[in-house]
Amino acid sequence: MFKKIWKQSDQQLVRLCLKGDQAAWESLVSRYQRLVYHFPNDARLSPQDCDEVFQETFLSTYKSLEKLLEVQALDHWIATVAKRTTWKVVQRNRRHPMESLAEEFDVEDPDLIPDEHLEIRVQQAGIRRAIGMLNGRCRTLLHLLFYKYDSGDYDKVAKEAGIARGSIGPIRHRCLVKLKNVLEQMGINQKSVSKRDP
Amino acid sequence: MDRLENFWEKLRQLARSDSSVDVPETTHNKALSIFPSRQETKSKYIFLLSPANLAAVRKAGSNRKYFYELGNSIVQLEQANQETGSRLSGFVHGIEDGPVTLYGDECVFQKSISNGEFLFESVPFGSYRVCFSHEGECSWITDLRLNQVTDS
Repeated sequence: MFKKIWKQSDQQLVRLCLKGDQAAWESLVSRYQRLVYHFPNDARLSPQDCDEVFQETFLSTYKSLEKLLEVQALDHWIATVAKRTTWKVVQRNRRHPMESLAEEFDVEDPDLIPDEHLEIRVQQAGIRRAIGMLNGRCRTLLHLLFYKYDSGDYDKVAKEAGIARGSIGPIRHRCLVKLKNVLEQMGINQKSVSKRDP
Repeated sequence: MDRLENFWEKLRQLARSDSSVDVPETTHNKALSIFPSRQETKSKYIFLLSPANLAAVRKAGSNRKYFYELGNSIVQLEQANQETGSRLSGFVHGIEDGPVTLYGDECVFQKSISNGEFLFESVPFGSYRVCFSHEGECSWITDLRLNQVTDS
């Protein structure tokens, strides 16, 4: 049941949330929690302030569920709320000297924060989510190749994934095709990814 | 490099620069607790804590209860309904007896702490702060906000 919900589109989840479906809400939170938390964490806010941004962002999401039925890109919407909420907390904290302040949020208006930061985080979250939606073997292999090892560490990858070294190339190719299809459904394609370098 | 390999490399670069971290479970649970649980879909209200001083919130049992742990203090809010108002109880470490005051926008409630415990009943919805008076000084433990969020 949870797996099915996990694969629902954002709009389907929002519709279920409006019907009071708690599993849909849990799925929505799980889907975007890492993206939301990315903003306050990158701004070097305290764990308490990160919690505050997190809770406020999802509270805004909850209050806006009806409006979100009309929103095409929920990931961007949520990321924008998290970015603005983070900015507010950063501004509030400026009254107290901070050890370090993330330059990105050191602006007079949240609209001055470059969009590319938001776009990159949205895409990074999308890649993680897409990998998570692949089958077990692809999920394991791509996770190791993307997040754990350098591209040349095939020996280590083969050992950890339990795949013969010579099979990694072909399996990787098949997994990438699958990943590409999932990402395209999420609005991430070769063109949009290649627009900006991280 | 063909297009697919080029795409692979771009994705890998993005993934490698991903500095996001796992979300702590307590943080995750806070977002879950915003949503009324199945048994409470007919509830008209949920409680929300103004998170300015929030240290930890966790949901306990099947009843909708929130525990706010702030330093040495714990404030507990229980789900209420429109008729009875809210119920707020807590325990304070280190203060056995003394006044505790609930300051709202339009009303003030005062109770005594007995053996470290206090209880407010039938508190109307609104914004509140809780203060322990100890040796003549008011010690604010948190900002509480009780919000009406749905009309079922």
